[in-house]
Amino acid sequence: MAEWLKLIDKARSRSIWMLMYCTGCGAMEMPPAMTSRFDMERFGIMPMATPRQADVILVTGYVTKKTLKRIIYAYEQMPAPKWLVAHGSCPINGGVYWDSHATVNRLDLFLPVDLYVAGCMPRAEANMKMFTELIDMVAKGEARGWEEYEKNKAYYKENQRKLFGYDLVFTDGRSAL
Amino acid sequence: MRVEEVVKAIKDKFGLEVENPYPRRLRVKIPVDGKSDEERRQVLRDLLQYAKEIEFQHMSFITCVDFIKEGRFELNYGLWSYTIPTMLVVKYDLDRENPKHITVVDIWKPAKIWEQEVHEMFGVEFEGNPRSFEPYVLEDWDSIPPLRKDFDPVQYLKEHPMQGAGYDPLPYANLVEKNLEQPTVQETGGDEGANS
Repeated sequence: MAEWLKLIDKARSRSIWMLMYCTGCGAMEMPPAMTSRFDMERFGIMPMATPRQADVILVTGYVTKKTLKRIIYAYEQMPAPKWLVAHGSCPINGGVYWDSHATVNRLDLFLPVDLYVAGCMPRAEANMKMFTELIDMVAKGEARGWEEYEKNKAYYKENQRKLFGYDLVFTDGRSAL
Repeated sequence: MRVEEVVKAIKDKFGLEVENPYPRRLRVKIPVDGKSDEERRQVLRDLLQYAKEIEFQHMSFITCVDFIKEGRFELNYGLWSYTIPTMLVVKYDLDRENPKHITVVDIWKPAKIWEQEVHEMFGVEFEGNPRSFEPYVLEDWDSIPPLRKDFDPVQYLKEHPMQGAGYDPLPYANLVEKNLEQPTVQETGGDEGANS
């Protein structure tokens, strides 16, 4: 069984589809990674339009309180296994927007982060390093943020409730958006 | 109509001095001069209407500047002309304590969203524009308008520790204890443990 799961992880690591949802300025660093100079598709990474078909969501810049709601909705719609990458310094500790009234400084209080990329902005080389690192983590079965989210759902939901003041998704399926 | 003619026309019709500080920019300020708010509002509306009739086709922006020491807001109405390519900025002073103003939506339609933004960021009320009272980008805002100079963002983040966590170490004490068990792979049978 374990060998079989390892084989599945290996296969997953070479077919990572990334949700085309970028916040803040980091989206500007994606076109070089997609186009011919760095060409992330040689690793099997390609952009995907909807959360239900995507494996990884990149949070590529400052996370405003308003955007975080949409990120949580998108993340919860993605099928497991799913990974979340905090890209740039803003999702890590607020970055240059640490005292802004609109931004949320720490993303990992509200969603499990599998991989951090520091920098403001991370260059395209750092992006490629991020992708190869993510591939290695997935192949070894180390990126388990989605499991952590399910296990510690009470913790994350409590933090989200404290931030927004209400539940994002009610028990009867209605959303607060 | 050339730029000099626009300057002269506004001077003749309204008696207002139009500055031309650098090319492609005109500035006109509606002075207080002991006039009542109604008279000044009427001058503003007439001027915007007249600018539309002569040479200006596009309202680029309405912005607000907070002069907290002088106790006033300054509204800037930016009108752009594609024909003489020049920006006309009309400046209008408001009382900071009681920022009530009148809409110009019936003259310039883009004002609908600019006034909405100014209302949300500075709390200026535009009478006659119902949309300006709706939230624009902020959701569930519970403090004074954020771009006023007396709004203190650090104080705001201290009152909202979940949002401001990251530079202030105190909020972590208030967080819920996280379940720190190691996550494991779900086992569906087999001969050995699958904790890889």
